[in-house]
Amino acid sequence: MVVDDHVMVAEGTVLLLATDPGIAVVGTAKNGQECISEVKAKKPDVVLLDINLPDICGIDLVDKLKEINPEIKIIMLTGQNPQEYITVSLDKGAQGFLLKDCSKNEMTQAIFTVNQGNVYFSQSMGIFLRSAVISKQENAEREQIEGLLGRTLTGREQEIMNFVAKGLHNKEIAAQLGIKTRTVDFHVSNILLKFGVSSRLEAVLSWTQGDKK
Amino acid sequence: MTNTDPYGEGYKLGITAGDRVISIDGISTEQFPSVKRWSEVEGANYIELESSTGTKKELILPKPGITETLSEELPMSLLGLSFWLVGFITWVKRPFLVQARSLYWLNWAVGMAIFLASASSRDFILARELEAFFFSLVPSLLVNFISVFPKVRKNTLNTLSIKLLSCVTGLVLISSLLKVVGLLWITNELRSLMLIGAIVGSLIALWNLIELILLPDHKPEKNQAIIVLIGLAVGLLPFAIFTAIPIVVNEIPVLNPRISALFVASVPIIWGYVIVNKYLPDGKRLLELMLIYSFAGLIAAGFLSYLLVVLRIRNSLNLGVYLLMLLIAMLMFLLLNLIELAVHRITGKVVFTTQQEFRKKVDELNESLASINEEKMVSQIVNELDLEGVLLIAEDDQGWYLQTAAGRFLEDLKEQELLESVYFKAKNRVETAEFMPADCPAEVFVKFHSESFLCGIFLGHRCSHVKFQNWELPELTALCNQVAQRVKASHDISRLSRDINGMAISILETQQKSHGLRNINKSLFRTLEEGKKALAREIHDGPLQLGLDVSRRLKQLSEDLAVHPEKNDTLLTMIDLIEDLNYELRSVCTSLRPSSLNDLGLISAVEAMCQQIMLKELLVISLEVQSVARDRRFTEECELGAYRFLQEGLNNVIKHSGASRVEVGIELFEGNLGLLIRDSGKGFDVTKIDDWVVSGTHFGIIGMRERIKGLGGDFSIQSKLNQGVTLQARIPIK
Repeated sequence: MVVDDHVMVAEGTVLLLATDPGIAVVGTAKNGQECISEVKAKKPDVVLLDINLPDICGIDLVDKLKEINPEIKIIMLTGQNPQEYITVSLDKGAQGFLLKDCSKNEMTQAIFTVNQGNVYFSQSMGIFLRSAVISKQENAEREQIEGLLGRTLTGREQEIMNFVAKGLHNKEIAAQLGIKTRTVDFHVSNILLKFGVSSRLEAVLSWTQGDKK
Repeated sequence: MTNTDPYGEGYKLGITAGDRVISIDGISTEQFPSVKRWSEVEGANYIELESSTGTKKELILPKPGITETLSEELPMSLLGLSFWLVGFITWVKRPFLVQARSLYWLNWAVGMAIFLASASSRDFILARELEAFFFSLVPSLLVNFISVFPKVRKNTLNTLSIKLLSCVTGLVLISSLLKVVGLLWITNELRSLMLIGAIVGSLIALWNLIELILLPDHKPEKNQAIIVLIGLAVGLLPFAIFTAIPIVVNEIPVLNPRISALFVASVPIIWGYVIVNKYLPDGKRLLELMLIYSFAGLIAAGFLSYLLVVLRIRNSLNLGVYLLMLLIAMLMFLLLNLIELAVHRITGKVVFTTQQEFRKKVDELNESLASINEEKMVSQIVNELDLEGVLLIAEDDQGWYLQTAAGRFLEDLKEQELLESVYFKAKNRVETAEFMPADCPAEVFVKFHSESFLCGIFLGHRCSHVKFQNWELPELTALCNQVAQRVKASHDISRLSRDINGMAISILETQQKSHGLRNINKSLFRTLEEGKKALAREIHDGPLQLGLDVSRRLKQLSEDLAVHPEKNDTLLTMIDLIEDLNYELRSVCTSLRPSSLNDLGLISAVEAMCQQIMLKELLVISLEVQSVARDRRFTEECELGAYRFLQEGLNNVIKHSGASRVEVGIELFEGNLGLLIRDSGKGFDVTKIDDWVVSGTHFGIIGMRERIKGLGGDFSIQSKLNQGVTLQARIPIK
């Protein structure tokens, strides 16, 4: 089932999923109320749940859905930075997180993974997961994260690190290197993962110490 | 016969000085015991004389009848009695005063002496001796009295003289007794001794009096001494001037000694009065009065005597005539004054009442000046005192000026101007009240000056065209002063009430403004928040959703077109673009109004904010949360206010402090949410904050303060240059 208050998004998602033979969309809902009634009626296996619903926060809905069917699998959908929501969602029992602009493949993969009882997180959520991981100690995620830890920086990353150490903001670095701000952000979050730190300053300190070595 | 009394019968019958007395009443002169002792005889009926030329004479002096004797002797006896009586009354009235007692004994002695003087001529047994004894007693008692009057002043002089005079008395007593027994025969020496004693006593008494009179004015003794002196003068001077002096100059005494002796009675009366009464009339003024009358009498007497000579009533201008005239003049003065006083008293109540009427008018006016309105007051004066007009000018040193007129001056402006110019000229003169010159339309000008207030009142002429008198001026001045004080009071009161009103109004305005400003602030913040919320929602609902959708479709398209790779790069570019768009839109939404604040609560939102900052800036944030559960929710207003406070504070740290570390604290205590942001960066001058309020710069911090206060909380900034900044806020939880 797809739950989203934006009609176009919901319909779009339905269309996308319709192409996959393994998935059958049993219903849609625009708000918490509808969602509950539909879930009761249609009894889906997996629910794609938008965090931003008009009448209720998606996370609170997780509780209610679990009441109805404890076996139900829930994947949270978000168009915004999900950082704050991750821990809470996992606490409540959500199985996965997806950004709304993910590809169809990712979405289908997520549904299948979750249906099998695993958790799924969108690729671009690496950095957000670290704090969640620390509190949850889920091995799978840890592997995902710690895979990056201790790795040496790529050339690009080193370039960026130089600028960061000089105190430039991401926007400025992007302008300097002629790339997108978003790209720089991505690199920076990877860098932080590699250093195993959660703040830019610590990264700079590690970088300068590393330099001295 | 050494002396003759011109009034005596003997003189009338032909005895002259120089005659030798052969026998009295048939008895040889020498046989008389009184002749032996005192060389005096009194009460003779039949005298044999031998004149200096040798002729023998016989005189039969008629024995005077009872009434005659009585009329002759009574005055002196009465005098003696009165002395004693006055002394007795004084003692009764003031039994505890030592002065009263002393006066009593003095008066007793004098009274006895006088009484015995008349008795001694009757040749009573021991009368002369007793008379002598009492006569010598008087001086010592006199000095004794003076030494205790008005205050006990027994200094060496006084005590010594008292002892001396007592010795004299003792001597006299002893010698008199011896005389009686027949052992001693000195007479003249005794007499001289008594006289010397009397003179010494008088001189010492006089000396004491003079000492008292020379005291400074404020001592009561001075006044008492002056009145005593007046008593002495009134008692003794008539005798001295009108009886003694003529005798000394061998003239006929102007005043019968018996009558002038009666004046002496005034001495004990006045002295007794001084002792009995504590509060006395003004001695100096009485003295002045007496001197004036005496001078007037002297001059009038001289004039009258001259007149007499000119009119040939008397032949020559000699002392006797003059003194007679003096006596007549003084008596006339006295009589006239008494008559005038009596008539004034009687008719003053009924017929001639101008003085009283004027005083009554002024009193009534004083009472009825009830209003504080200047115009009413001046017109009241015009009416009550029956004046042509009144002009009042008042001013103070702050530029206030008042001019009020009534009566004639109200209509005639020229006269007002004239009086104004007089006022300005008179301002600097010293006099407070003066009569105006004749050409001035006003008659009296009274000036009142107090602190910085100056008031001048012109009183016009009386309607009856009767001029004001000098004695009326004090009352007019007092009246005008009262009016001026009223004017001053009303002026001060109106000024004060104006000031108070002004202050009350401005306080009210300030309060209203402040209240209004608070409300404006509240609305502004609310509007701001709603704006942000709306914007975030709009972006989220509109462009972001579109962007997400497009992104997804494009990705789909890309996968589909994997078969035809040549179309893919445009597509990939577009995908990139859209991803950027979405990314930026997301950032904008989050920074405007993070949805996690509503969904998950303050703590989660703050955590997310801190993590976000640490990614973007070279800053390490140490967040400490105490006594608050992570999912604890507060009111939206409160969470929003706290979030914005921390957001603004951290932004400031990033922008201004240059620090690399900051502490953020959230704590719940006693129903309040406490927030803290502390860094160790550049810091700033805290005193400049109020300048920011006025100039409207740095609205972030000021706005934060207003917002927190609007929530009913407190806000504080502590900072020193180069020692970092500590921001603290407390928001009450409802």
